[in-house]
Amino acid sequence: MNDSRYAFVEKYRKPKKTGNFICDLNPFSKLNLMLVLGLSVFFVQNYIYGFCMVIFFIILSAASGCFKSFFSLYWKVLLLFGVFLFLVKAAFSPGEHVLYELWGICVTTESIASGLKIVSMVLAFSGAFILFVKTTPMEDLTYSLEKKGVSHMVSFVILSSFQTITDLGQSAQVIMESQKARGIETEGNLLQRAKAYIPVMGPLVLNAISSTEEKSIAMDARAFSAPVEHTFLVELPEVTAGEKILVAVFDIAFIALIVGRIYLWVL
Amino acid sequence: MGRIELKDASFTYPNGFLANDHLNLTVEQGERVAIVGQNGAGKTTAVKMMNGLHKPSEGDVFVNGKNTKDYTTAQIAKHVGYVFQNPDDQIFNQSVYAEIAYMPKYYKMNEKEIDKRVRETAALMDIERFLKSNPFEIPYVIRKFVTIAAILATEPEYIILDEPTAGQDLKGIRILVRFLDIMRERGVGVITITHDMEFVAGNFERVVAMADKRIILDGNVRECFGRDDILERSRIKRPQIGEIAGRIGLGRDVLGAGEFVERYRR
Amino acid sequence: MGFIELKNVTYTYPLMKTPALRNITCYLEEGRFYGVIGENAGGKTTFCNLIRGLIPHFYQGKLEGDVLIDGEDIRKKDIDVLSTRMGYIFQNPFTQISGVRKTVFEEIALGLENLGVPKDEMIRRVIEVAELLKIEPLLENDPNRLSGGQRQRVAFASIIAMDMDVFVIDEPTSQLDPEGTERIFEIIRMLKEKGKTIILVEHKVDLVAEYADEVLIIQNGELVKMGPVKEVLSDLEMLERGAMLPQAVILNRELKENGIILPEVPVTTEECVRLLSERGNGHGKD
Repeated sequence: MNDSRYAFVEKYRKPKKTGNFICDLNPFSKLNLMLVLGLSVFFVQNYIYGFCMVIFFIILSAASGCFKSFFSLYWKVLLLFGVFLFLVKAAFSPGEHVLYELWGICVTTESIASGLKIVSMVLAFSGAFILFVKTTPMEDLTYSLEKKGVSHMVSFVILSSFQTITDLGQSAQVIMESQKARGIETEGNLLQRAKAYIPVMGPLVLNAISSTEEKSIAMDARAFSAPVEHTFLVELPEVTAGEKILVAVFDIAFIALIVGRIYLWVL
Repeated sequence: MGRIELKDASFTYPNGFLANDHLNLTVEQGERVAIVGQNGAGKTTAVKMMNGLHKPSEGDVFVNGKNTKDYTTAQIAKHVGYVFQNPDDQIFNQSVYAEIAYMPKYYKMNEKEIDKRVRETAALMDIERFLKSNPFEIPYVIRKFVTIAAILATEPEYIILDEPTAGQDLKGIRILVRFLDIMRERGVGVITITHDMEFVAGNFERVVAMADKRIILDGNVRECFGRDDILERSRIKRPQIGEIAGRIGLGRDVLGAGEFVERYRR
Repeated sequence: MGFIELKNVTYTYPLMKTPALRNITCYLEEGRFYGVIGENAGGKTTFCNLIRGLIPHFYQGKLEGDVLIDGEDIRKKDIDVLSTRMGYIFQNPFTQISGVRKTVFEEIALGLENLGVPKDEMIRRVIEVAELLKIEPLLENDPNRLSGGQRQRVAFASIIAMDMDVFVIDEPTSQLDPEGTERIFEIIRMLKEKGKTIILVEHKVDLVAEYADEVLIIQNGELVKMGPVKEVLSDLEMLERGAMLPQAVILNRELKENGIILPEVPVTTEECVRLLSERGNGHGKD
């Protein structure tokens, strides 16, 4: 089987590696690190730290080679949540040093500080979350879950619910075409498009429902619940000692941070 | 009478895939045409250009003299009805009756006219007994007839069918044959994509064979089944009777049993 | 795993008043190829579900009589074990793609992963079936973006790769062109030669005549006829009962009506050509 057409199968023979350090971290290590980094902002309680983390995640995304897909989602979060939260906080938080006042809305130094703080925390945390999602293929996560003993069924449900979203988009396209071909106007003014809503949504939902039964038969046909130990075509590498140490260092630092914060609060 | 014309029409998908390469084809109203060829030859793309679902990337398509580029698909659909391969992409009403009545209602016809059309088309497709049923409780192949009836109720001048005989039994095929005959009486043009060569041999005089994005033959059904080179390139097989006739020297273009016997006796 | 036996089986789906299958008794031998034909909604798919154990394990409803696999009552069989020995390919190619694998290669491997096949063998088997079905160029494609015909072939490959003892196949060629259809039949013949038992539902009766060993006609919930291909398909009475028969048989009827009698009823092209040739050049001079 040295056929060059099948050169691509060689990648299955070895554990999956992309060559990028961040992407190749075990999904659990990655999840652990992102959680620790993301949550740390809530304990540090400093917006400079928070914004540094935001920038840090953007740099990490570039380092892991997924800047484009990361940022295309992240900037929306930045804009939507960041600006909105900041405005609300800046306008309504109490404070003494009034900077600006209009119709009873007071913008104070304190309210701005509190706005920046909350915004930095939310953004940093969502940055960690989005980065994790963007650098971790869903099937890698379910693979690791299965290796930890989570049932085959659970991982299938997770994977297929993600797939359903893409499937729905695709079948909406076909349904739209077929309703157009029938004479239903899907272009033009709002009223016309609203009229096309049911003819497109109807088959979409009905198809999704009716396909679930067949889907489960289809999975049974693939010996989904065969009472044997499953094998994996795509495997992830074992977690290296270095990776374990890295995660441990971050975890210890994080615990120290929590302890320190509690200590300060209690005082 | 009108016609559908493809003039040097090519179509390239947004991803850059060329699916139809300079097609020239005219279908007169009232005519019956079978489009045959291998999966991926470009048959579906070609018929999608005929009703404006695809606007040609090069060349033009005219329906009754009007360029499809100037109209929406829904506007063209009043003239050219298209029955998709999968009925489940079209059906959404709670009853077969409502499904067939949907477009006439959409066009704001009066109640009496709507009722008349529903009953007429349901009778034509032999689904009257299902009018009150929920479309999803009747067999898949019957649902296909529901979508044909739903298109028929808009009384288009041309109807495009995609693989109508797939999965049909003897009874279903007989209903389709009757449907074709009634369309001819009414002067409605029918364009059918099909892999079913017996259906073609028995019901179509004109065959368009496609291969590799192009039309390689547009001619009489006898010519199509008589020519090995065309069958080879479009990867289709002549029907069994034609094959038998060819092998015993009666001519490969024999279409039916009656004709076979006639030639055999000679 | 070998024979399948149905004894007086009547089955009614849940919430239905009339049974989908009535009083079916038949014996399916190991290593043979059975073609199942008959009108739509007549019970062919239910018959498949029964043999595959989906009735009663997946569909509840009322099951009377006995279905025996290897002499053992299907009610007592573990469906999960059954799923490792009986392959099932069903009609709709769209729902058969798992949707959880990124490439066609991984999609075909999914069943093998579930069976615990070691990796090297898995890779070998996937390539083998891909070549068999001529879908090698698709192996790196996204299975969720294939055409109907491509999906049908991938679904077929996914089950064939699992190399089971019995294959229950329900209309595997509805979306395929003649060439693709013939290829599927060639593969089914190959499976039979490897000793597999095949139960195939198919409307393309010309091909059933050419490839199958025995034919079952199921109409209106009943098994109206079962026997060797030639015996069943040459029975013109079946035509009146709504079953499709090969064109060769129809041709023979036409010849007969015109006084041209062949020594036996041909059901395939080959047979028909042979019989007509043997009859010599005396065209129509009876």
